[in-house]
Amino acid sequence: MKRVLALVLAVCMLVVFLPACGSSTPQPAPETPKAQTAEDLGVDLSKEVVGGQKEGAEYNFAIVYGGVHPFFDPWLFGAQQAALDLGIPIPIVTSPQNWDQTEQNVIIDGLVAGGINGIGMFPSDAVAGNEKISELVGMGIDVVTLGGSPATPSDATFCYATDVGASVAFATQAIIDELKAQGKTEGKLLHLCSSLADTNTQKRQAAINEVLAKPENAGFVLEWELADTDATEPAEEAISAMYASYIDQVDGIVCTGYVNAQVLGKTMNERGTNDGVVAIGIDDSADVLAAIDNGYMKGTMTQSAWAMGYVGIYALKLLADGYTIKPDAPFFIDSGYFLLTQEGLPAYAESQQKMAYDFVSTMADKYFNPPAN
Amino acid sequence: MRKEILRLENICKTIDGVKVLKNVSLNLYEGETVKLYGDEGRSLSSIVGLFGGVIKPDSGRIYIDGKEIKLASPLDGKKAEISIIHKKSDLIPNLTVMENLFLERKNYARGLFLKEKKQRARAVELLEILGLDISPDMMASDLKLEQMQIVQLGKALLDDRKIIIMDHTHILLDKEQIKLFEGVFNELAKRNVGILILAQNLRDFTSVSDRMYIMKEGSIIGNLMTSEMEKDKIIQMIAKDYYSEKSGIYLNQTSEEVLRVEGLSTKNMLRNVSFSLNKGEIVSITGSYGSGKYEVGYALYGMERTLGGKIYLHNKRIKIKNPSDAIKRKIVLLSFEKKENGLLYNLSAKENITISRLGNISNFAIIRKELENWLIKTVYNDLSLNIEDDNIAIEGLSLVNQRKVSLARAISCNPDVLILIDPTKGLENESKKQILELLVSFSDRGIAILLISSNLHEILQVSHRVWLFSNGTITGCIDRDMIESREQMNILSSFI
Amino acid sequence: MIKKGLVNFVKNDLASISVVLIVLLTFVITKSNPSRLSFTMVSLSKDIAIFTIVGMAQMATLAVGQFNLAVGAMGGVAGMVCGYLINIPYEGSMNVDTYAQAEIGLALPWYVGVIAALIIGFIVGAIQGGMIVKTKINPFIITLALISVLHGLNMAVTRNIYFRNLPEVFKAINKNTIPATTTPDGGQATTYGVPVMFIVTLVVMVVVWMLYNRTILGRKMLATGVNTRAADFAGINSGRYITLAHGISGMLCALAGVLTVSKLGAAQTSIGDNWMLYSFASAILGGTLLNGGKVSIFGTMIGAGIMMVVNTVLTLLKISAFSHQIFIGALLLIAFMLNKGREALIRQQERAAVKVQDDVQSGGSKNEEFA
Repeated sequence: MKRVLALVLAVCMLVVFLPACGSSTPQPAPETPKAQTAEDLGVDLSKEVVGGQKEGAEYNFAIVYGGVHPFFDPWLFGAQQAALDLGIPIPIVTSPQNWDQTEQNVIIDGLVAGGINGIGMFPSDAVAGNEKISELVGMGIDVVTLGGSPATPSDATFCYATDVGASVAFATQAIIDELKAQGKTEGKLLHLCSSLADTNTQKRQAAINEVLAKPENAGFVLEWELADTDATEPAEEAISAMYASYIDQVDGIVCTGYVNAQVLGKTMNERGTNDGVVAIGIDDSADVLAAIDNGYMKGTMTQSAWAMGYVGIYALKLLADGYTIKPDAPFFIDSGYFLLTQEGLPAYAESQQKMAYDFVSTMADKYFNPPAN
Repeated sequence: MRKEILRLENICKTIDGVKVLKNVSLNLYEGETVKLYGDEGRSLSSIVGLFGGVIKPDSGRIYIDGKEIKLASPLDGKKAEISIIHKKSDLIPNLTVMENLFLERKNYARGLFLKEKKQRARAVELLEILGLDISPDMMASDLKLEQMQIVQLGKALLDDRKIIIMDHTHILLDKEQIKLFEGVFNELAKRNVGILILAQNLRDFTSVSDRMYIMKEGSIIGNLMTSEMEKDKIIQMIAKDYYSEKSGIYLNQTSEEVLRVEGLSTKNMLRNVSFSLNKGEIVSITGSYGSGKYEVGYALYGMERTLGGKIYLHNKRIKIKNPSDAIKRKIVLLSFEKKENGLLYNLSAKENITISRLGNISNFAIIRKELENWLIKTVYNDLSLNIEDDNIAIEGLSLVNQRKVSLARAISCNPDVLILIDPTKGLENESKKQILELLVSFSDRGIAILLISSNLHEILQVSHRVWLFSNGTITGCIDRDMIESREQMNILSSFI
Repeated sequence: MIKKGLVNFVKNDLASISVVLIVLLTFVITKSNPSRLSFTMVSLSKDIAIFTIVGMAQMATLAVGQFNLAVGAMGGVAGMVCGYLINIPYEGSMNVDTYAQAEIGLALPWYVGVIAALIIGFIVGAIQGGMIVKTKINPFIITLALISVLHGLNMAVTRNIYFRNLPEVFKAINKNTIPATTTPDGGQATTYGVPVMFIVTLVVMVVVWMLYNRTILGRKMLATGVNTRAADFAGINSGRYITLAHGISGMLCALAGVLTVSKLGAAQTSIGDNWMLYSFASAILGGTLLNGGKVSIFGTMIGAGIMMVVNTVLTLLKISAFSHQIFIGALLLIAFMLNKGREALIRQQERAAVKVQDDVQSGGSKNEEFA
């Protein structure tokens, strides 16, 4: 029995070590070129914020991801750019290994012990994250949530995130419109969705169903839903199974997981055709961008991941300088989404940054009250 | 003059605090078959271990072909050109018989490739010589124990080595197979191979042996030529001090029946065993390995499922489903067949003693320390056991004290019937005596003792009666008054 | 000298690992931002409280010479049961449509939920133990299979919803401290006490200590752990005690699950996902032997402490969280090496003791008892 146990532990250790080795150096996102400054993009930042460090204020900020996921990669660059633009210390950017609130909590506790006074986080768990957020706010630490929303009510200052439902609804409608443009009156759609445990998945499912329920979309149905495919292996399996059996019945594919979109893009690139399927991906992995460039994918729903890091640090700076959120400001602040198509590709990186700069240029006025004195 | 090919000189070895080999010296000439007979399997096995390079002697020398060699690892053992037929098969279970036979034979391989045809032909031939009706492609793991032995013999033949050592302790070979081995040994002896057979059994291989060493408690007490090999003489040598020491032990008279067993049978072993046990009586059960002597004890104790049979305690029929039933009925068994079965290591001496009596020293399942200490004290007095620190872990006690702790546990249960399996196994003389005297003191106070043992010495010393076991049933009974007679001794010896 | 020091280090189980914990804690105390120190300590002590119980859950099975890979799954199931029983169905909108499911719940008093969870934990554990005893299949297979079965059941039955409208009294197990945390109105908390959760764990530790040191049940479980067959010989129905040990393990998992629910402020299916490694590490670091028969309750807490504090230390050292697992894994390896060392040491002591006694015996004191 002891031998068996030793074996289990060895396997566990391997499982533990391999990802640790694999991901110890965050890979720079290839689609994020050297950031341009706000001025380059012709955006005017509100002066009082850019005006350097305020006397007596501390700017020990941290960005904590929800877990290990390529979607977060550009956050680091956004956060660093914000710190450079604002003239404050470079924030700590870190992540739990798994999407696990307990793990994230441990990391946050360590950051707090180290004297952090502002955290921008993607809560690993929408509901359980709130308990930690309340504790942090109770400590006088500013918390803004980015990318993913905590369950409401929450003590976080605000949540800057894409309205995932609206985004996927947009994508679904775009696919149907394209199919209609091709002269079809009916079609079968396939949804490649991410983990069922993710509350966003439920929102996306609801949004797709809502679009399909519209009278003008009669004839278009959601025929397949491949769940839990937001990891490379399950995604590869599901997609190759689809190609092997029923690809000729599929008219449109809407992807709502970073990885399954990536795998679909890769598969299309390898096959050199889209088999007549109208597909819209999500996020901006290199494979998806290549598939769009090649014309296999119609487009991808993107949000500005870069902006997450940038806006997060920017807002934390405002809060540290004594700004307070307006009582009537919404908790959810939509970070926006857009359908990136072949035409939009060349200016993509720029447009991502521009989204961030556009947003922060008006953020202070729109959502914050200046310091009392 | 024949050449001496193997010599041991003053080998000493202590295992677990017991001197298993005391100044053992022996030699073996080429073409000679020598039997080493001893009543302690452990001593014999450690000699095998010596040659295999598994056991390192504390002192003494080993010479092969007149040259001293050191056997420090199993690899050295292999290099020493000695073939060993182990009691536990050293065949590799997930290889076929043929692959096992040719595992180390270089001349049947060309570079990295095996000459399979040649191997197969040789293997078939060999199996035929050995009278084994099996395919060379059979998995070693599918062989029966005795078949494995024979395949090991085949391996030894193929090895073509000068020395063959056979561990014949705890082995089940039937008469035909013994005959086969004897034939092969005869053949080998003609080819000037020296053969050393280590046996716990007086019968087997005696006829093919040129000489016999007699080993008792780790020392060699006799070296007999064929002409001198008379059973009763050997038994007397082994049991010598029985005659001189027995006066020290007085056995009481008994009459009242405590336990009666009628027609006890189990699925694998026991066939229709019936006997009775009187108050204060010590009855020994003995027999060769695999005769079912252990199983009687286990069946009585509820550790082996019985198929039929009735057990009466004080003339009342009882059923025993598991050991805790048995303990409730005041039947306690202690087994030292394997070291770790007798005691709970990692627990303290105190915890070991009271473990079977926790119900009586606790209130509402909470152990009361003062009651526990009282129980310990009582038992210590009973056994005149003297352990300074009873919170000491069992490992910290000497072997004999460990044994006494086990006995203390049994006594703490106030038994009417005490079943003991190999109670002095692995102990030194002095310690053995202490344990045996305790047994007699138990019997004096009316405890009926069933002593299941393979040690002739202790059986002779403390038994009112001896039952001989073979093939799962009682095949002979010797009363105390008759134990001394030569005839009975002969019967006894034929079972050992 | 060095060798002797090493031997002592291994031998004094608690002393050695206490030193490690103290060193780590000292590091945290000196490196932390002073104004945050009490908060950090409160946070840490809550984590330690939960993982001590998780460690003890593993310890309960190790004591009988087995192990329980399904600690996390059991905690998850019990947590969800507790959540369902005490969740107050939320009337009106929870603001986010997807959390509407949390409208189910029986709104029973909090202690009913806790007791029910403990009972469920015990039953699930006992079933696992019973299966191991009856089928004689290696516990590795059975507990591994049960991870999936339990986790799957949990997901399937609850459809992965959250129970988060829990009674305030229940949440207070996490929030309250003794003496109470003082918070000047609206400002930051200034003084902290000992979290209720930590006190709960201390009480449980005393109970478990009593179990192993004072009761028949505990004694017999330890005896079973030493050697099942030897225990059988001593008249212990080892199967029953193996089953009970798994039951107790399940119950402790359930308790840890319930505490985690209170800590997260919500019952959710992911509770317990990361317990398995920690459970082994805490128990083994603490001095519980892998092959059974010896438990160390206080040691388990120290073990859990080390595992938790190390995370804080690593974050304070600004070591990337990506590499934390390497250190956790290394700690685990060290724990197992310590275990090996302890076993070797016990054997060595045994030999030494026997030798001494033999010398005494052969040195003239022969047969004194029978003279």
